Amino acid sequence: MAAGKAHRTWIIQRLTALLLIPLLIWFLFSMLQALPLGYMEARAWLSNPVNSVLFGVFIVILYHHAWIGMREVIEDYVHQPGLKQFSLLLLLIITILLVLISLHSLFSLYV
Amino acid sequence: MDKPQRPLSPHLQVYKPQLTSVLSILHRATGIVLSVSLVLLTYWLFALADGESTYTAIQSFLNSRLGTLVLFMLSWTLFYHLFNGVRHLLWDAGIGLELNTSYWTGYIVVAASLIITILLWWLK
Repeated sequence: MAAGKAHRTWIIQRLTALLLIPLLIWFLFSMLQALPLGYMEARAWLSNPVNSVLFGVFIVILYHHAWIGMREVIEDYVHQPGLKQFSLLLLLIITILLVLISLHSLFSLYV
Repeated sequence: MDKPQRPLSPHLQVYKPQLTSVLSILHRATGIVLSVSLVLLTYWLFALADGESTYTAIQSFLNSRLGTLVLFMLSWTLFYHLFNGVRHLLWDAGIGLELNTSYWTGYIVVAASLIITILLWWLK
């Protein structure tokens, strides 16, 4: 059995891709509902726990999938070792920040 | 110590583009565009949490002509990446790897992504 990080990454990329198929359909229908709403209605829509939990799950899975994809792009095109490691680290930091900001924004609607 | 710079055979300059290779790089390009668009998604959530004036600002951008164009192109990008992603998942399962199959599935992905995008925007 092919062990190692590359194998695990491959599996996670396919797993997140599969999960994103129904999640994206949900997301598109949700945005069709939510985008035309005004400020108070949009907040009300998103503070419905079904919507905000699904949105949170969607964010985590989507951003993980995007992170893996962008990692592969850096691995393929950045060859200078110092620059490559720096880019990968920067990518990780940016991804974590975006996830934290997104989840914090979702949770703040409950306070 | 510097490695000696050896000459490389021409590849991109000489190899004729084909549906397979073009759709492959397009999958990567759409993936990159979608990853960048996540900043916009995060900002939209942040704006909703931050307050009415922040939210109104981003909403009026999204409702403007430029914003609508951006969202239209992003949705087309998304549908292409999604449909071609399914084509990739089928390949991972060993399905559709024959050359003629990958050609007609490729045409379906391109056509479907454009048609679904137009349908979505026309019907919304």
